[in-house]
Amino acid sequence: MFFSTIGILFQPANLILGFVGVLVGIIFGAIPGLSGTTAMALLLPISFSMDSFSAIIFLGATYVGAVSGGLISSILLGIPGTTSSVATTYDGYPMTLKGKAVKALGIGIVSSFIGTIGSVIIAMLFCPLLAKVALKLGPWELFSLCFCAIILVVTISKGDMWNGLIAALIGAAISCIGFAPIDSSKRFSFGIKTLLGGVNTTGLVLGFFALCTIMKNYGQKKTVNPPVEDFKLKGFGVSFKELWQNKWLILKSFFIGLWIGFLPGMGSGLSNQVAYATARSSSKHPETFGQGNPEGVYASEVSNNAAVGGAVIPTIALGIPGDTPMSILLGGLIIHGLEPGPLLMTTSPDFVYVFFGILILAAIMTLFTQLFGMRFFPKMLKIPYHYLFSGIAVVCFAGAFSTTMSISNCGLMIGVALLGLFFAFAELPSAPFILGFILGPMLEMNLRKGITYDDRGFIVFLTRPISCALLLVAVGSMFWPYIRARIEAKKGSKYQDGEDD
Amino acid sequence: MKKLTKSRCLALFYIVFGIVLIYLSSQIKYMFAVTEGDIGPKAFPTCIGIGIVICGIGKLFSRQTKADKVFMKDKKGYLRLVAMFVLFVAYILGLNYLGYIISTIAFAAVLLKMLSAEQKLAWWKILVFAVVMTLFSYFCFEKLIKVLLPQGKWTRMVIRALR
Repeated sequence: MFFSTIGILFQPANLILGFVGVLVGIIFGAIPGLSGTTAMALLLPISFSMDSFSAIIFLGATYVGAVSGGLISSILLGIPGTTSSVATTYDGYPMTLKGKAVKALGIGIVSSFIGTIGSVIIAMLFCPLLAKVALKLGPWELFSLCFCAIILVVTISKGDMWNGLIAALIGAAISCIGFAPIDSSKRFSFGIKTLLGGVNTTGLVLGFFALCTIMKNYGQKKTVNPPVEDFKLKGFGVSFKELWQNKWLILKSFFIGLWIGFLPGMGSGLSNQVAYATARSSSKHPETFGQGNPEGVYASEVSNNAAVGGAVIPTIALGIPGDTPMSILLGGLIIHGLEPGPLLMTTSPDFVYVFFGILILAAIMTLFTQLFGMRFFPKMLKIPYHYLFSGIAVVCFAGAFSTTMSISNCGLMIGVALLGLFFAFAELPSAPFILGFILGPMLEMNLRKGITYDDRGFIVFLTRPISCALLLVAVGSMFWPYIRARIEAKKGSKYQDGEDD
Repeated sequence: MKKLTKSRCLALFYIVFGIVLIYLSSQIKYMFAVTEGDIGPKAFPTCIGIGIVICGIGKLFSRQTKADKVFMKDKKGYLRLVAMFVLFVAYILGLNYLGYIISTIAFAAVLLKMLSAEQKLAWWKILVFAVVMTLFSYFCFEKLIKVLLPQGKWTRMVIRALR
């Protein structure tokens, strides 16, 4: 089995296909407005003409490339290429502003590699076992996880917690626009047909980060790019010593990404934010987060790529897509005559191992492609600001249009840009808003399902152990900053009393 | 009487917003009869509205710890924001009526002119950039990614008339 897998993977045609897939994925991930989902949707028809092994190699490589590619624009421009790299902007871009773009890219690229490789190996070894665990989780656990994730991100909000909660609630309120989950009742569309479909995620992210930044910088007359340090790149741009110093952070972020990735419907869009929040709250210097702390980049990039392996588990073992690109991949598998689900491992084991193999190979290809590109990516910042951001604005509008094939999505993007300006004016944090928007529908759907499936009403969320534990973590993390401040104040007064004595 | 700071004004705004959200949620019409035990489509947005009101009240009475930051340095800053907003809206209208190529050339040229106000770029540089950027993005999206970019109502009419 091992040798036949290697034989298929290393056929020259398949190697070229894998490399092309990685390259396309990185490009789509890096361009704001495009994503791995777009790339895979575009490449799916092309893969029909290939045999099933080549098709899966092509699509798998694109997926891995796209998840990693998002870090480039997040770090260099402060505009997330995909939702999976939103948290990378929080510290990646401030590092660029400080002239440490290459360092941030190095950390991001190596972290992405660690996340992907580790998670795929775990997926390969424990796929059936983990899939069984995933099946045992019901809407109660998923609701509590979403709730816990939002609260964790709220607790890391700069300034007061009220602002974080308001931002998350506004995000969730916007996610309510359109048809309601389960019964499809129309909500807040005000008779506008475009709003019936809800607010498009790409339009929201582009408006909130890209257009809003362009408008704000223009208003504040900030029309100069951050400096790029002169560098002589050696190796990966990050030393083994640095990696070792951050081993616990990497490990923690990795398991957060893996866990969130393998829950159906969740994915790298959520894992990067949760890992970032956890890294900040457990850091010795939480005040340095958001100001260019490399730990923020480690956490975000390890976790979003760890979700790759996580998302593969339910897709392969249960036939339930772990995230949106995986649902496209699932469609591709079915078209090629394969039936993803519990029987796939026994009926087509060679196929499953080729799939895992290409994910590992694609991670290696992505690493070296991005390491090669690292010499050139920061040079983007040497393009004068007015040229660079005029070009970005054009691409953003085309990207927003392409996701829904509707000009109204561009209008929506402008509306969100205005909301972003309001956030900047009111000093509301962006992370809880984005997470509230992404998780809003899942939160509502699982809440409604959870209550409908059980006669005990809301209390059922507290009677299931995992759900209860997650809710306790959420409540605990909400009050922890106040408790910690009290403890520190008490310690401080005791210390002072001791000194006075 | 506590001083009406920016933070407190915002808190009042959130309270009003939350109340409006609760009212709008109460107006949602059911598509189907709600199944037994289901909380229905109104419950979640109502909870959000209540949450915003509570947070607004919390913010109103919380301790004002830091001085309000300045969003825009001067009034001209706000005018520049309005100018940019008008440009974006005009671009969307242009996409709808003139189509991608014409409106994007105009949009890219005006945007570049606005962003390079201090550098004072030569007009031919602006024009070359606008045309190259438009054609490049058109080629990438329309030819490579196969996205049909908007042709524009008026442009389509002219093309039809010419045929």
